[in-house]
Amino acid sequence: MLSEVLKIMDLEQSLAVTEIAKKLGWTLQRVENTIEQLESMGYIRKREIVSSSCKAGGCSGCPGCSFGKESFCQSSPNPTKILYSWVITDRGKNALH
Amino acid sequence: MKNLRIALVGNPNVGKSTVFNFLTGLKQQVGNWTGKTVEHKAGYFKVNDLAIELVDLPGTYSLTAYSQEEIVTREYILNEKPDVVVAMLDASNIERNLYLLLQILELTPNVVIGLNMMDIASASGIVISASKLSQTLKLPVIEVIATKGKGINELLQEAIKTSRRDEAPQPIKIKYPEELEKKITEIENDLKEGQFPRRWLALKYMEGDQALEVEPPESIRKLLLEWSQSGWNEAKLEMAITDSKYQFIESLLPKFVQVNKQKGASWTERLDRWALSPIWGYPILLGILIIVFWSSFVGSAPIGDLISKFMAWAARDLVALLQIMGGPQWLQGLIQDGIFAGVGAVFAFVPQIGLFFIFYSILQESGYLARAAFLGDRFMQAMGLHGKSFFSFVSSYGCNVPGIMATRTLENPKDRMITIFLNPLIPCVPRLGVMSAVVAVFFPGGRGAIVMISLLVLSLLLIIFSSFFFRKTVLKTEKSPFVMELPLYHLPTLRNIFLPAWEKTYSFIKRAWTFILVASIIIWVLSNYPAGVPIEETWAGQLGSALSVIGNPLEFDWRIMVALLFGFTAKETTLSTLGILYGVAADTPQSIAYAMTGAMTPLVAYIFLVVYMIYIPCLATVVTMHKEIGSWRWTGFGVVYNLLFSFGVGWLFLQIGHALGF
Repeated sequence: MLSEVLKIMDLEQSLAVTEIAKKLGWTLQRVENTIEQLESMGYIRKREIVSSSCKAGGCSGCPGCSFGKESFCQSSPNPTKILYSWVITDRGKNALH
Repeated sequence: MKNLRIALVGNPNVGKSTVFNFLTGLKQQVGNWTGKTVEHKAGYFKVNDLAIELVDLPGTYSLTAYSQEEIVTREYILNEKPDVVVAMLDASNIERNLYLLLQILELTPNVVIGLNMMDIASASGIVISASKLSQTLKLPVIEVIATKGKGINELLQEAIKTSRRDEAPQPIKIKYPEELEKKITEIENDLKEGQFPRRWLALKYMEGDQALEVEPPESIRKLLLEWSQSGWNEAKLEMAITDSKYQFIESLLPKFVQVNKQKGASWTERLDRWALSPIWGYPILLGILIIVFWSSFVGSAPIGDLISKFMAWAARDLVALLQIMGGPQWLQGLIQDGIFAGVGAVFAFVPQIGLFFIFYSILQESGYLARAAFLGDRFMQAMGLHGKSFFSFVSSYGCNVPGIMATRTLENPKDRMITIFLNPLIPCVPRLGVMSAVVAVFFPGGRGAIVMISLLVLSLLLIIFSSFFFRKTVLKTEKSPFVMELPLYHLPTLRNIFLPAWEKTYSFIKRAWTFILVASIIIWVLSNYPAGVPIEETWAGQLGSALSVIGNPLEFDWRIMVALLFGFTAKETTLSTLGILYGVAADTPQSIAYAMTGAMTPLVAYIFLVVYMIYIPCLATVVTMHKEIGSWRWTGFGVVYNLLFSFGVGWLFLQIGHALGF
């Protein structure tokens, strides 16, 4: 189960979680569980996509940028700061190859 | 009186604490586990002749050694040896819960199962037979509705019953694949009976468990080293062990799980099948962009016209008033040709920009914007280019500054540098605003949408080209794919559409009154002094003449060059500068559209848009680039690259345009 997801992640293409579910014929919940487990076991590493720049405050004066505005981040049901991605760690690569 | 110690174990949020509180009431002791920050909860109560100690162990998904919760739970079971372990299982997520259970069974056979959340599982079309689960696992299973207190007393009675059994239960034993089983046995045979179960200890040695208090004997170390050299390293062994457990669970599920109705895929999954499809994803994206831009251009036109007329009327009447009051000539000129031409030019496009921001918010709030960026990234990867740049590209479509700061997540300095250099090629929202305003002037109606989309596609192609160029020449790197969690689709609320749209539009207007007002005054001074000379001989004209060396090959009017120069301070000032310079020249400050269309052809306007889209990042972005790169040399390289690249691409497009007869 873990190795199936890790093998797909190791392909030379970026993927969305829903696509992994489709490829494996699994439920989204199962893929999410597996990813969570892969992460807890150190095979993959989670990264926040933009929250680091949101928190930095350096963009607060930028026109049109909604990411730097706390009011927007808090009011949005899809705040960009909660977007995550995962990359395979060296340990994950060791497990695969 | 006899004592009985029961441990409650389970995944987080499985209802364990509810059971604990129900049974112990107020008789609880709460503290921390020794040397850990994890909460320790124990409760004491009596049942007939039994003094029961109930320990609520921390919620955990497994019993490896990757978190304090895992270590605390397994150490308690191993060292304190509770009489019974009550394992709470979430029926709605049975696979993951059974994974923990299998690990508990490797530590102790004295287990009773509390099967909770059957109602949630049932709502998903999953029915679990408690009796069949019990038969399969060879363990007592009690159905529980923890929130209603149902089944909890029965669970306790079953735990007491298990503790009183003369013979230890013989629950199901996991079978690992032959190759793995052989290795486990090999290690197991080398171990003596001791504090811990041998099989469990063998598995932990194979996994390279770091939290074990018992070091492996020399013979086992040698064995592990041999395996590692033959390709079975710890990481691989642990994965094989985990995978085997899940395979074992998968083989058991049909015995007690019945899927009554095939629950359909979620909305997100169904929509993503189309939205992220390699075949349909791009046409859908294109269609959405056409709708967004077409609606922005066409929908905003009547209001934009009204604002233009109002500005013209206000400027004329204010100047007339000043004339009556005997106001100085220069003040009349400043108000009419400076402030109203500059700031007014920006205001005339506020409805269009506002409408665009509304659509932008809808796309962002619905969850589609992340998918659009993801498609763009995939397209780049399909071209054999960089993948990680996606991290900051999402931000950069809002503003290049946070986009560049978001590159901090990239570990490889070369990856980071390339992503920083690529960022300014992404048109940020202020740039998109100005671009859409200029497009509306030269390509009114539905044509504008096509032009805007062609520019966005071009931007993507130029990013691909530049990425390819950097990766193959200056900064060679390897590809690095990743998995991305995309937000669920949401139906955006009106508040979440209009609040961000208003914030962005207001920010635009605010800058029009502050920064752009100041810039407009400066431009007016530059374009009116020395007094009494033709505009070509003013300071702005002289500046433009100097810059025309660069602009002439692209057939750029000197005014365009001055506007581009001022755009470096902030992208929106380009629009106000054009408003003033063309307004002054045409002597019709109220109609920037009329003045501009008369001064350049649609082809040159398109070239201007191409150059403007990528020519140079704004001052704030350059400062951020330097902060993040830490080198003026590389920052300068990025800026010069943008500049040369934009004018080079512009020149190429001009030649193509002429060759095509435009």
